[in-house]
Amino acid sequence: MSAPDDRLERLVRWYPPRWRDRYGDELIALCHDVVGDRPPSLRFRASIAAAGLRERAFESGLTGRTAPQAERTRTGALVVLGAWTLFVLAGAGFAKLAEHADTAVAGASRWQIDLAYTGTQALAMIAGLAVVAAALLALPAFTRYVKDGGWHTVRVPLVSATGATVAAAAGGFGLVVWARHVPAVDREAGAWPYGAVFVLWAATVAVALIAWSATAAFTARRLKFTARQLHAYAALSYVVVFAMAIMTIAVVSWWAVMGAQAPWFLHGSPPGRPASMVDVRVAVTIAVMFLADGVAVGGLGRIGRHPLTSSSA
Amino acid sequence: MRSDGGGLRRTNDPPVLILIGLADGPKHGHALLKDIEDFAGVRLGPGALYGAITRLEERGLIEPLDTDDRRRPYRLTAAGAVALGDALAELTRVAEVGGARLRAAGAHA
Repeated sequence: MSAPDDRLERLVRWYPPRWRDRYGDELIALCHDVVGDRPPSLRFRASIAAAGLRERAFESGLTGRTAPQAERTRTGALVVLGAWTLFVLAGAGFAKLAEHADTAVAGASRWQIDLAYTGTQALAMIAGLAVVAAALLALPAFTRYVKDGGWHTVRVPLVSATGATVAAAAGGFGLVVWARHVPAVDREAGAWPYGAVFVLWAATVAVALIAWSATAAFTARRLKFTARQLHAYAALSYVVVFAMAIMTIAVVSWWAVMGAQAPWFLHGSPPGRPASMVDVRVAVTIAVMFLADGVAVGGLGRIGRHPLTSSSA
Repeated sequence: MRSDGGGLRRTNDPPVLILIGLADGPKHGHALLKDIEDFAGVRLGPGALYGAITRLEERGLIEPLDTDDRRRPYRLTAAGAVALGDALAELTRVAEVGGARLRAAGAHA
């Protein structure tokens, strides 16, 4: 193979393997006809990359109506999983922000704060259980896949996610031990160096969470699910998205009450000090939640009302 | 006098352009790109062309011909000819309505 063809072959790797098997040689020949022996321009490469990614989206059922409904259901459920991961990251931020908020609000409004916070916790638990159930549901298919020689394909992402989890757990354990020697007032205020280490640890947890989500998506795309399993994934996706929507409403309600009753709390100011209800951290948290909700609804759109028309995927 | 279109997009739906390109006989990718540029003034990229070819073949509107060459020609199927006829009839209808309205506006001006 000539050097230009070699370059073009690398470019065509943006396309999914099955597509390349069918059209790859033709596309390389066409690209060669168009660019000749010159190196492809950046614009040309970008257009091929975009077309390849579009083809991957088509093949995975992320866009278009050409992929089988079973594939769209699987992809839709994985989109919901990705959205849930994003939501958890925002939710963790909310949990930290809302710590001790009940002590800042007295009187009739306190029950609203309690309801929003405990409601969010309960719904997060339900959605989390749904995600765990989805993972357990995939175990038989995963075992079959590994027995059939798939381990070498999923080994790297699985080991990476496990490594990230061990690092996060070890960091968490170390942080807890250290926290005993840090005055409470410094912990609460996030004073240096405790605050910086805490942020670093939170980032490690986020990386572990994202790594597992990506590993789940990478692995699930390779497993064979029965129609019943895909129906279950569709149902679990609806549960997760419903919980996310209610949690978003609860967090917005929490913000509204806190903003009206104790805006100083949102800024970490002393009690009673006049403050705006607009706080960047809360606003960003809620914006990310809405973004995750939007992505999740998009995932449900791929699943549709009738998640399956074929017996397996 | 022909204008530059005033920045308006002319008919540039790749699947329709490909079907028109194949209406007078089989062509491979590069011949299709050149033909489409000639008759429609639209310069498709290889990615856009093969994206549309993939969808058209999936829908049974075009089919590949056997060849030993990497430049595989495609031809219109019977279903593709019908689909192209429908698309062109629709375009013609829209063009006629637009033309009639322009003429009417010209008469009143």
